[in-house]
Amino acid sequence: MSEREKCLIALAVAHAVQCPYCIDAYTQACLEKGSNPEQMTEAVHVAAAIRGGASLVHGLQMRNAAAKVSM
Amino acid sequence: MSLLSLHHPLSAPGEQLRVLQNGHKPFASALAESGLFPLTATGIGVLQINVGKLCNQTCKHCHVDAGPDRREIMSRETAELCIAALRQTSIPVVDITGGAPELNPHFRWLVEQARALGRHVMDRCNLSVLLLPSQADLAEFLAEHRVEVVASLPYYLEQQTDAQRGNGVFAKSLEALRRLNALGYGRPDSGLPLTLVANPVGAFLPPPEHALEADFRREMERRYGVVFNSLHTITNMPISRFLEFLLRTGNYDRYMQKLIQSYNPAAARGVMCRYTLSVGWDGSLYDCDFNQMLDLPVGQAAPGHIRDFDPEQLGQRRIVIGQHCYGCTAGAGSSCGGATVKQG
Repeated sequence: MSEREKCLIALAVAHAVQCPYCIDAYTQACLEKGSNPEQMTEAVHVAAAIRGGASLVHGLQMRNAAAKVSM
Repeated sequence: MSLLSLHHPLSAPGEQLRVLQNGHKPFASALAESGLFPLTATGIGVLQINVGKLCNQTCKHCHVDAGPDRREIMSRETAELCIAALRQTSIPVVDITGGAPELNPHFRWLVEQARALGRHVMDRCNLSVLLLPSQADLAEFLAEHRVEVVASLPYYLEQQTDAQRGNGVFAKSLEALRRLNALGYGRPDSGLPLTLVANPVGAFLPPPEHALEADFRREMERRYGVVFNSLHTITNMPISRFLEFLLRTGNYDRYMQKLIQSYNPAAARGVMCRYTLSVGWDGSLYDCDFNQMLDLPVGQAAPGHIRDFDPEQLGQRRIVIGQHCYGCTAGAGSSCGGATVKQG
């Protein structure tokens, strides 16, 4: 992977873990590796999709727990 | 409009130097720590001629504060002195800059004379100038004289380019690049080199040159069918309009810290002032185009005007430095030839 791609991953992870310092640092780093704000926003969308997807599939845990105690 | 027309305090080189001298580690100390103080020239490999500040664009980062309202322009007499100086030496490269150098009425004469002396000539072109009605035959002229076109293009997308260079500039730049490509510029083995120059659209350092060149090559061809030979990255120098941007947006201290923290002794060893002599529109001599805009002429031990050109003295002169020089020594370095520490 290129340095630019690694920085985009780091930016996405920074958003997933919601680290404000990391977001500032990797925003600057992404720009300095040649990414543009649209690409960086796309990376954040990927992070959001993964986080959102993980929340959704945890719904199964809820459904299973509810089923167990329900008639 | 230029800072000068706006009567902005930063249009005065003295005010820029006053701002730059505030508080940060002196550049001379950084040089001394890496055994490079005093910095001296290693000869003259490039004669960079700034033929004036007139330009058809008013870019937000311009270190010249150039624009349509600027009237400083090199006379034929001074251009003749430049050619006389070239004739005395074997300086291989003539780098013509501005403003938009093509708008100087003596530009074509200068190119013809320098080419007749067998020198490699570079035209630092803003691209949109090729579309002016008065310059309709400019591309053909450049091709006929085998002039290297060194063209400014900060990014391969319209939004970023126009944000820095003005609305509509990206579309005009593309049209100009297509015109140059049609003449053979940018095509391998045509003998018509087309070099793109990219500088960051904001207060951050440029990407690694080789990586950005690969991105540009892929995107320019895929999106627009445009080809070029090579790409140079240039760091935005904290002077003139870019300094005004840094101060106005509260980015100045952080940017200077970034430049200072990124000081690279290898980049400092290769700075362009060591092998370049810069001529101002009035014939005054400088170590580089940035010193020229800060009104910092060559040291007193060397001749100060092109009429007194002395290649031996000038080729071993002591370079005049300042805090702005951190702009050329940060990271992979920066020069009119791009990064000074080239990577694979």
